[in-house]
Amino acid sequence: MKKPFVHPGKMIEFVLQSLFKKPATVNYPFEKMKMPEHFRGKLNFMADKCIGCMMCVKDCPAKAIQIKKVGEKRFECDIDLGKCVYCGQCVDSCPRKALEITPEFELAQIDRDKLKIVFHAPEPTTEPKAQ
Amino acid sequence: MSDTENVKSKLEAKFDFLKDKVLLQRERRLWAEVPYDKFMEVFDHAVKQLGFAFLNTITGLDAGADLEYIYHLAQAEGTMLNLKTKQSKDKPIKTITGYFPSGIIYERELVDLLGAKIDTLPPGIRYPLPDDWPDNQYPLRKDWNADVLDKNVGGKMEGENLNITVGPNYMKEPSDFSIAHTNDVTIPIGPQHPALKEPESFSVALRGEKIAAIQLRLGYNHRGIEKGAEQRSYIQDVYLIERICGICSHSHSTAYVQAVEEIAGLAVPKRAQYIRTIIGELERVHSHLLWLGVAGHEIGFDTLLMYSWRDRESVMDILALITGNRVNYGMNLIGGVRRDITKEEIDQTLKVIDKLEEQTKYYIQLALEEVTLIQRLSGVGTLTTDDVLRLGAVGPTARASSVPRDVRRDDPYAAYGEIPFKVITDNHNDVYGRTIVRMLELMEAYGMIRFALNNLPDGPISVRAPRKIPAGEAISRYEAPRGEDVHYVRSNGTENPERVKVRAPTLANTQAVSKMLEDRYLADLPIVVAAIDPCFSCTDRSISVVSLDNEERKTMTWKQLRDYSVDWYKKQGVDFSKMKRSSF
Amino acid sequence: MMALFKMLVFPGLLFLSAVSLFAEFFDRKLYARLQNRVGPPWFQPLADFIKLLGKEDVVPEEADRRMFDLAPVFALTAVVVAFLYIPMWGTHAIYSFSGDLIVVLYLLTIPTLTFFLGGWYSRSLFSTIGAVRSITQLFAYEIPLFVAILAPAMLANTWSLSEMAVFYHAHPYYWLINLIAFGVGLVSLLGKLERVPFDIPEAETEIVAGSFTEYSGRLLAYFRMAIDIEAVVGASLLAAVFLPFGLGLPPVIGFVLYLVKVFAIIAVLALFRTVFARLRIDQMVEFCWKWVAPIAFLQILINLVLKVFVIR
Repeated sequence: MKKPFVHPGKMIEFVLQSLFKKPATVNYPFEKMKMPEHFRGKLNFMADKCIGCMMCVKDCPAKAIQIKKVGEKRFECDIDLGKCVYCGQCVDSCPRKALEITPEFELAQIDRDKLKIVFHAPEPTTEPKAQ
Repeated sequence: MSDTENVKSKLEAKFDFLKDKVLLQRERRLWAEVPYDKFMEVFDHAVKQLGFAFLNTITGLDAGADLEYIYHLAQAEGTMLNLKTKQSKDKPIKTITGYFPSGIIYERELVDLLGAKIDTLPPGIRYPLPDDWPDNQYPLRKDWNADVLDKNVGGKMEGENLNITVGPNYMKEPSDFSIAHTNDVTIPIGPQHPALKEPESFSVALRGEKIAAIQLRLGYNHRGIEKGAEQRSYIQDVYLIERICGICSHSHSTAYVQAVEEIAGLAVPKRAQYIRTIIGELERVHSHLLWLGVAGHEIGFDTLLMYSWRDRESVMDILALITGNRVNYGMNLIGGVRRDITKEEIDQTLKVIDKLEEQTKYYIQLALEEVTLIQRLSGVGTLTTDDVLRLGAVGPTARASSVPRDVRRDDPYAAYGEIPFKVITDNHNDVYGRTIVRMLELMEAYGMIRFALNNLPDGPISVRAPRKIPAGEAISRYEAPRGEDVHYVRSNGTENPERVKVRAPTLANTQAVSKMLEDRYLADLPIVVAAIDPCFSCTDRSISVVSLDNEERKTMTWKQLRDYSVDWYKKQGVDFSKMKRSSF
Repeated sequence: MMALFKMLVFPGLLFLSAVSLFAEFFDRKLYARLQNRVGPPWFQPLADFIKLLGKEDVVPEEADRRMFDLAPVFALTAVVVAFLYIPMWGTHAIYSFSGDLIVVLYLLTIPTLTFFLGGWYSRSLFSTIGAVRSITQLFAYEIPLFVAILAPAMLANTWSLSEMAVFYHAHPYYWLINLIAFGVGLVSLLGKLERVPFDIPEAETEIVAGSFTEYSGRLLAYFRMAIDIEAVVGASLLAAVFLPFGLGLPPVIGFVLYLVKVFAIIAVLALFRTVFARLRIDQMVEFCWKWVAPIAFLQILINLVLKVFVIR
């Protein structure tokens, strides 16, 4: 490192260079920031894989996820996006990989109730049972 | 014989009743249970003769009819001695502020949260609960439950009719804050003030522009994390503990996970240790760049704020890439880490580190050459080496006063035993020294990250951890960007921990702030407070009061409350009517 | 009628307000660009002004209502009146008389006094400290500023700004002698305008907003407008006293040249704002009395010597 020479206005040359560079500000929301692929955003529930073991409910640190049984082997998932801390523990705890995390992060709402989202169970199949 | 075994044998030799009772849990960890009547003797001997000159914290536990107290002492070389003792709930224990003046805040915490009775504790503001907390409610006792506060909720908040219920203990006068001359003006800095990033309250008595006396009040950010941790499982607690703080989140999470792994006897794979270290050092880079910006802002040098925070963005982007989030990384798991680092991530990180290193070199030159910066930071917030040792300061605050205290070297954890690095100290003893220490630590961190990334061992990234951790206890230390972070965990064989105690570094440093501000100007207050890099989120962890439950209730309208508080401030000496006299 | 037009519209109140708002935009945009940021759009200062006018005036109960309300008005009036005597292009200001230089300097001191009075009569803790700091700072930079402006006046043998302009127009290149004083003038102007490194009376991280802590709504709008106008008037004064070249050019070009001079000075002030940290009040006073004032006196000495021995 160069020997220090104490004088005022050390930053002048650095600062003048910035006049000719593009600003570091991202013009959000007109320009979107791109998040990396494995960014922890909103959860997604794949109802056909769920077996209702409730491990996700047990391990959630914020009590944000609820699984309800709505029929034979059919489960519905209620997630409160306001309580969720986006830690992804439920994804890790699920033995059937029925939950996944997406990079969607623009989840703000004005009405608190809109933050509670429901993933419905798949429709019951009408195949006749094997004789 | 190692250091630890040495100490063990010395202790057992001196005290018969301790023969074969001092437990050597592992290298640098000793535990001893002492009945209270003999406790002060052992304590005195350990502090004065065996060189345990540093009090980390005091943990209190509710053990049925008794209260259990654990005093965590440490030597400069890294060995920790944890002295446990029990005393019945209605009998008092003696204060140890005679040995460690900095211990007063830990004792106040015990008094407030557990209802401990401590003899001869010097009077002062309580910590961490607010003044209007109802009597005989001790949150950390096992039989206490937050529902007790919800029973009588105050009136709804609607426009002017803001009915707030206050009890007779509301705003008790803090003692011992006398203003010597009528010429002194008391200024409240906080809890809300543009200089403070987090709420705390400094009552500053001014004489002209110089500070005559200062009184510190903490506890505004207290959220009940320690109690909350007892009610959640170990897995849930990893995320809870992580959210104690945004900038030291990985520090807290790793410290906690290390303690639990020690109790469960898990052998964490090498690769996981390295990944933890890499994230830890990236967090340190992030934190120090943030601090640089905050320091610049406090002295009115906004340009430094803008540039250092622009550089900090590149670190956050890398962290988002590797861990999945910009803060609160969620990388730790009991038994290892959750995600692996891929080759592309390593390459990108190395590129960012190269760029940041160049920028940091520029900032170091700036700090050495820019005259207004030097003038504002030098001679401010002075702490001599003796002050540091007496007041128990940690982290860069201590290292800037030539005290080479760094947990990464004294008590290595994760991969620090294998990564070469220097402990940076400086002898300026003031805020300028702290700036230099932090910036040189940035350079060290870049070196460490490069070494770790280039020498990442192969292997699994975690081992399976049981849900029920067997009974035991452990204490773990981590060098957070602000200083030493101490976590104590006790388990009882179930899925929930019995007790989790966290001592964040800022709590140890706040004792030093009053000393640093003695006889300085008001203009120096923001930068001095900023120089300990305060993170009051780490420091306070209590329960917010929904309403009060008291026999005698008084309902006040908003206007009455405002008048009440103006009156109260008048009694403290902040009297606007005094301004009519020409007291300047 | 013409006089009224000159005073209120051009180049009086309306023109001055427009230029000051634009100058504030220019300063903030330059500041932002130097910090690698985007900065506000061109209408931001106007939008701020209109927004503040529309907000409620919250006055502390303990404040002295009369002084509290009058302080901003005095500030605004003083700076606008000061502008009337400064020659912009050509060699004559809107009004001039012998001794108007002194009057302008006194008029420019009034805003600082009103900051003090406004802060003092707000009766709030932070305002009082800010007010006291304003006055302390006044003692530090005022003398160097006066002395620095005295130097060219001495050379020109007159106390009137317009006659100084005539003198320098008649003797081109004489203004180069006064460059040292120009440097002193720039530093002192930083102090007067309360900009970094001398913005201690309004240090946000220490005393919230200094004298302006309790001000809101209309009154704050007037104060801010007064500060903006003070910047333009101060820059114009420096331009008129230290950069009196090109005064013979035809009016339109002269007008453009005048704007260029003023904005150049404002650009230099913005640059200073970017690269320095804020000094403490004791450091600032020490700096001004130890370094700035002696240099100003040095210029006076040089001018004296030149006047007596060289120029007749």
